[in-house]
Amino acid sequence: MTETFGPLSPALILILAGLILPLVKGPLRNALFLLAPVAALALVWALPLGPGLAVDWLGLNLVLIAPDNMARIFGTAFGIAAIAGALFGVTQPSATEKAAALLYAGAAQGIAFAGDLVTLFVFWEILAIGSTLVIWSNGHARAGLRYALIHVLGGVLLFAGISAEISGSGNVALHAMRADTIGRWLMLAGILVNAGALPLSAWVADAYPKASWSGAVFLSAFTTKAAVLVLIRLFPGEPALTWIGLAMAIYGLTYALLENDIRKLLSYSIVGQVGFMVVAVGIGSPLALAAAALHALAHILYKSLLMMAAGSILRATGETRLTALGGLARSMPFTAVAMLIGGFSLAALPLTAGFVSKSAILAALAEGQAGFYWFALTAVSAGSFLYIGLRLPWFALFGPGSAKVMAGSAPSMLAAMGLLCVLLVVPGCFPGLLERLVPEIAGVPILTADHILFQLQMLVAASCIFALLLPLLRPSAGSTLDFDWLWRELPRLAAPHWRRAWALFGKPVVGIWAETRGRWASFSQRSILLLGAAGNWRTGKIAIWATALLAIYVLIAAL
Amino acid sequence: MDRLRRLVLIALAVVLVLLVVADTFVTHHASFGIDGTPGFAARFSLVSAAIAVAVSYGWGLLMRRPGERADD
Amino acid sequence: MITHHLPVLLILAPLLGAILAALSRNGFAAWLIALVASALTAAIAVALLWRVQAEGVISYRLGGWAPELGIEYRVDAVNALIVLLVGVVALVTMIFARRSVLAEIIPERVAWFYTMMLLCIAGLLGMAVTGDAFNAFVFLEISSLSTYTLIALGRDRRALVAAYQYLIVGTIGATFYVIGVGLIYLVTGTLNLGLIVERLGAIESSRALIVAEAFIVAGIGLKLALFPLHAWLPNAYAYAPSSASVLLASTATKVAVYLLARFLFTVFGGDVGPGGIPIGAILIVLSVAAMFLASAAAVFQNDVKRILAFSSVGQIGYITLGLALVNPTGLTGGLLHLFNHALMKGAAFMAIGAIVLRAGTAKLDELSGIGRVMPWTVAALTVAGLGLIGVPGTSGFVSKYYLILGALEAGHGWLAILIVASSFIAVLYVGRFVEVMWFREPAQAARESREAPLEMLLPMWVLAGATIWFGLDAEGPAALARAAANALLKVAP
Repeated sequence: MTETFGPLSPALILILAGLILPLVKGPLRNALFLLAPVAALALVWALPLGPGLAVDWLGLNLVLIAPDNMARIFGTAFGIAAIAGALFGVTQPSATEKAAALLYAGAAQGIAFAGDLVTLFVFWEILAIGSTLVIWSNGHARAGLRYALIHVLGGVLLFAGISAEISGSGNVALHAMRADTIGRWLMLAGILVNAGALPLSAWVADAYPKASWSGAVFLSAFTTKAAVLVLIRLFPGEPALTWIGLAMAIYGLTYALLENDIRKLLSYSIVGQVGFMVVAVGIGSPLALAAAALHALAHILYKSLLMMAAGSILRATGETRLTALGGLARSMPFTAVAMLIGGFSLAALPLTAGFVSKSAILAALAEGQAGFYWFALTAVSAGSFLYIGLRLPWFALFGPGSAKVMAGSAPSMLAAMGLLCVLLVVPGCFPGLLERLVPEIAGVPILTADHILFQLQMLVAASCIFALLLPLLRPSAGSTLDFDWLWRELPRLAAPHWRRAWALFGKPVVGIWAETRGRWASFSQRSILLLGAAGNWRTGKIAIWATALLAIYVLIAAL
Repeated sequence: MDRLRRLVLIALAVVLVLLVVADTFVTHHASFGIDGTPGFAARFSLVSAAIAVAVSYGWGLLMRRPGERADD
Repeated sequence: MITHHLPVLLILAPLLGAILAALSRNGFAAWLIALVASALTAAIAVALLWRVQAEGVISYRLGGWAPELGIEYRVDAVNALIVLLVGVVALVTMIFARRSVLAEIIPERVAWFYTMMLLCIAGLLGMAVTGDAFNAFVFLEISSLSTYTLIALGRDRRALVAAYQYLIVGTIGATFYVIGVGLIYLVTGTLNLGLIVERLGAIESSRALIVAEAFIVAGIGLKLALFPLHAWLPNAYAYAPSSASVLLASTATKVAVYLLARFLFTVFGGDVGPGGIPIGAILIVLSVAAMFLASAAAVFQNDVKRILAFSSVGQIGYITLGLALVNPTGLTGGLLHLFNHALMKGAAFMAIGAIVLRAGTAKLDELSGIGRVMPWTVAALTVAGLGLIGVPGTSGFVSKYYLILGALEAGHGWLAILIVASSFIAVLYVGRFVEVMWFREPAQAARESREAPLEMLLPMWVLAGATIWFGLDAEGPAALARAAANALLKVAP
């Protein structure tokens, strides 16, 4: 492949396009924004499977591009998400967001095709930078900073783990391992930060809703799923992942059921769905890994679609809180259909892509005789339908209240949503298409009578519960406390107590402190003056130093 | 409970019963035994959805705070 | 036949060029002569490296005299690398110099400027190839004297003071060196480095040698701006004409480092010092002090040339640290950093030279937003700055990587940490000019400027491109540096 494509990779195309984008203007910029993801997706499929492009750098054998089937599945998912996201956001005026989005998508492709730990880490960091810029470009400096700090922490953990791994085994290649050394635990922790695992999961719902109506679409697609891919590559069958994933799924369900803000609800839902994938990775059989990848693909499609619907609502009404919305089905029928298709796909309604992927995950759990996880995830799945297929549409689209629609959706936005609707429904009706992409799922029963009936009973029974317990599910303004209370509110709450304690015990310390500080200030001022004037020495001083050095040298030598 | 909701609930219950009846006529491929019994999905989903609502409602009572986060 | 005389032709080309340039009296003709002479020099340097790689050590006897009586030029893997560096930098500097010199030097003196540049190159190359301690002193003087003149040609009046200071300091350094060489001659009765090494083995008392080594290290330390003997350097670089700064920053201190390495390793033995003098320890302390203090001083400068000059002192600290580690990996890192630093500092001084040409100032506070109007120039400066920090993907990272490996190999984990920590100071001073030049609103000077001419951009980007290229494809220079380090430490590769 190196002969044909050289270093050309989907990541390179997107990152270069992202860097060039701010330099061009007008239609050219939009064309670049739209075409770069298309070229990248084409390249995902044009790169022949094989050992890929390896280079030797400082004695490390780096594999910059390693096309295998897993890379192709995730490359396809990231590619489609980038194309649809670009189409949806093409009317977004912010050049920063567009450039950052391409950078971000490129980094995700880079992770998909990375063949060694160093390359992986480089793209991992570009991913963090790109996503932070996407959030920042919407003007939420504090939220962006919190997001960046969490990812710096994740990056440091991963870096420490990779360093330990390389110095321990001398091997930089990506290979399946167990978390059996401290270094590997650090690596796993770093990856899980990006996957949105507890207890640091709160960053997802904190950061994603701060992005613009178009930026959130990109955010929902890449970071967590790239982490799932890395888990598949590095830690397949790691036992700890099953309960971590289950905790994520339950957390996502509980918080999504409570949430009032649509995009925040979708963010919690991301954590929940990624939990399904993480459980599957923890099972670790070939079918389970394939199912995790397939679920990532389907999830990227329907979550992008849902984020687009939420973005359209935000753009049209300036509002994403369920308490302030309602009755949008009449004023925004197309968006309403998109939201329903996305939601039903998440809830695994037969004839959608989500049905195929969730069936594959549950089949993998059944095959592995992981009964507890099978029943638990089936239960969570029934609950998921409550928030995404019933509660969200009911209160946003049909229920009482009518939000004022101030601006219609641009045709490009409708086209993007239409594209994703088709991509969700067609493979749902013809699962054979997905079996060609992920051959491992060929034996899974999908569109069989008992399986369809099973799923329909699940959904209808959940609907009964929804109709019965509707008053308990009514959205309320406010927020749900999460782990991020520890770093967002606790310091503020602790500050007065700290000050009181300080007033009691700190007095004597203060005097010494002030004196030290005064001395330090004058010392640092003097040193700065000295350093600034360094170089304006008298010649004699230089000569003295030279003599002194000579003397010291001789003295030491003579002793 | 208003009228519309009651109607919807009755309609859904009827559909569910019909689905369970239909479920008795198909061949099941159970993985764990119990999941192959007719109408298992309906029962399981009713229970788990109710538990989900109850848990999240309870969690909301404990953890839900009015107003936005202070530093947003 | 002619290949046999390569070592002497290397010196003759710039030396004859200097005479012709002086006779020509015409600025453009002198430039043309300088260009041709330095192109020849570069070509000879490449040929020499090629021959050394093919045949091993080249020994050339000047006039056919035996080493006991005459002068021997001796080229091995170490100085072949230095010669290549000087030759290539000389060539790109000459290409760059024309426009810059026209703007900065009084027309009558342009021919003299090129004469001095060529003399300086000849002196530096002579120091590099000669295998004779006293001959090295002669070449040291040739390069120093021409350097004093070059600095004094700067149009700033402070250039005179700087040149005068450097003259005094340089003379002290040269005197120390020649005293050291004299002591060695007293003990061994020869000036040829190879013979000195042979005869040192038979010396009983090492007292004279210790003093000789002290004088030589202090003397060369002055020339290479070893901290704290560096104080002449910032003013000299800052007020010299821009193209002279390029040449001096990239080559002068580097050749001095080479001479130091030659004496420390080849002459006085690999364990650095007769009688087990802990000169390694002294050198480590001074190097670390340079890495931190000189870099910190760079943060507080306003003149970009002075920032770069202080940065040079700090970066020389990394190079001497590599020497002080006395193991193959560390020495490879030191020599590699010598090479890489020369390229990136050359690019940086070229960029600031182009900025001086267009904006008429090197003061940072007057250069706000200059990146908007001179994007290519400031981009080259930024690339060089990233190299100075040691960002992965630039050659600076590769050499620091080897230095860290060398420090770990020597069992000094704390040194590895200090190398990384001191790099953050570089982040400060590089970040400062990057921020001002790219992100501030354009100031008066920036609004009236435009992009530098292509003939300056090309050589600038050759060096900046090399900084990136050698950061990605690290093997080429690393192999040369490793061969040089092995030759110095006399280990079989």
